[in-house]
Amino acid sequence: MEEKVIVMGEAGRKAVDDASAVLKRLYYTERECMRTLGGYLVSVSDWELKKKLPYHIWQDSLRADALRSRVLELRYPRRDVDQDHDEALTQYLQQLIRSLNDAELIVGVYFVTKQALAEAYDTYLTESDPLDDAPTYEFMRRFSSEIHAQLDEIRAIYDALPEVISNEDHTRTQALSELLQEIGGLFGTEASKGPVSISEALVREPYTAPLVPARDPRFRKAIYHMPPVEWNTFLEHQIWGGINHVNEIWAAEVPGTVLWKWDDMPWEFYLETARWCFDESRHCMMGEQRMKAWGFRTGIDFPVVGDHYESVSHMGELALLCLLHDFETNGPGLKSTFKAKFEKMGDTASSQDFDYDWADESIHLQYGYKWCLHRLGGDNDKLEDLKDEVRETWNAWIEQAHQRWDYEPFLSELRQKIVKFEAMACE
Amino acid sequence: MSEYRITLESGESFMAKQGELLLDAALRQGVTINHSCRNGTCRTCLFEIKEGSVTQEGEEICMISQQERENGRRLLCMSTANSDAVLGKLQRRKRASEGSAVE
Repeated sequence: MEEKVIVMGEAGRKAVDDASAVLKRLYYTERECMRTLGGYLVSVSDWELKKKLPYHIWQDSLRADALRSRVLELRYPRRDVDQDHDEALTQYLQQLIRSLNDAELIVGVYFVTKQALAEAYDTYLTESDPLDDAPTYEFMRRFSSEIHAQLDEIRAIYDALPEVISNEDHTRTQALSELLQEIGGLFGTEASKGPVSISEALVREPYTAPLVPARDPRFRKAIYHMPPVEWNTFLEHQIWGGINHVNEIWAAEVPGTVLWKWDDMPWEFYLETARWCFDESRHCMMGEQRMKAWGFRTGIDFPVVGDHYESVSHMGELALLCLLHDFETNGPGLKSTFKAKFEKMGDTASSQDFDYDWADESIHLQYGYKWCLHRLGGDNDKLEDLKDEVRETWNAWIEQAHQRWDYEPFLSELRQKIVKFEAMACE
Repeated sequence: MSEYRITLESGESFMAKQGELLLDAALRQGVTINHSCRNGTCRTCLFEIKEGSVTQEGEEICMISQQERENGRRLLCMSTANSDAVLGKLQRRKRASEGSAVE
């Protein structure tokens, strides 16, 4: 006689294997959104979007990290967590960077994929057991609201994009949404495994990062960013320092580029490089905040260009990262001196900025050394040689740039403003 | 407890107790050494040991390769002395394409 089974309590909701499979897909989606934004950062034209994306890249990396760690807690083999992803999901995610402009990037990454991620997190929390899977609940309950905050921030930027104002096109949104639906959404289905056909509306050439970083078309043209003259007064030091800080956006673009180009690195690389990208955008915004306080308009009253990036980009991504690392090698000495000098003169806004910048660079020096060396097979001599080579290339580039352009009319205008500030101080 | 005299190429010197981190000893005695992270990761305080014996502590967490350690380099924020020592700034290594070393 068959034994009658009596079960008290609610039915089970989600097995460990099912949970790890879903969490792995969500981790992969977060990671690829982060890498897409990183890769496209150098192509982004809109200045507000350029400054905002690195923050989201960092947030995405933290969500991806929490998910990845949790997958590994759920009896998932470590060697498999970063490989063997669903081919159809991979195909979908690969479309996101094939964008023709800022608006298309936003549509694909934010309005379709991140929107779907927010919904997926809500669904996961509803469908799984809050006690058995409590460690997932602990971090995931914050994810949906964080993504909605990202969407709100991006929506405001999107609505002001010239290509949206002139001709908002929903074709791409619809095509990507349909593709996502076809592969079974972010959760996927057994039936969705395997390659899918890409609709004509989505067919594009593979993405290629430009050698010269895009800058906002509203900015005035310039070749290099720093005035080609020594600073003589403390006021000049404050303003020249501000210009230099704003232009550190190139240092956010470099980690963004390698995030995308290098798809075979250990997870720790992506996590650290996303943070590096965000930190450099913070340094840029520190400078912009100070320059705005003086009344300077970004890209109009002083140049914002990608001169460092442009000087070595033809040598490849490792050269770019190595140039950034080489500049940061001198960072602690330079930034600590600036901190002390500004503090002594009573400019606590600037000294505080340089203090935190100095702390950030201590971390970046570790990242730069570790990952450049990783790409060079651990050969320290090769790293030193490459640092020499990119530094020499930059020095030759800027010397040539100084011969081509005298920094006018920016220099005359900056000097006129400095005279005004000095007169105000004497009143 | 043993104490060792650490001399920099600039001519400045300071005393380090056995087991004391060299950067801490220098700063305690008002000797300026460029530094930043103080945990062996940023490499700002990388020096070459010209004379004497200096141990790199925490090798597993410090950003210094075996290749560099074998070449006598140490991160002072995470190093201790076993004898009197002379420390020098890094000498740029001769590149394969160069005829002579350049400093």
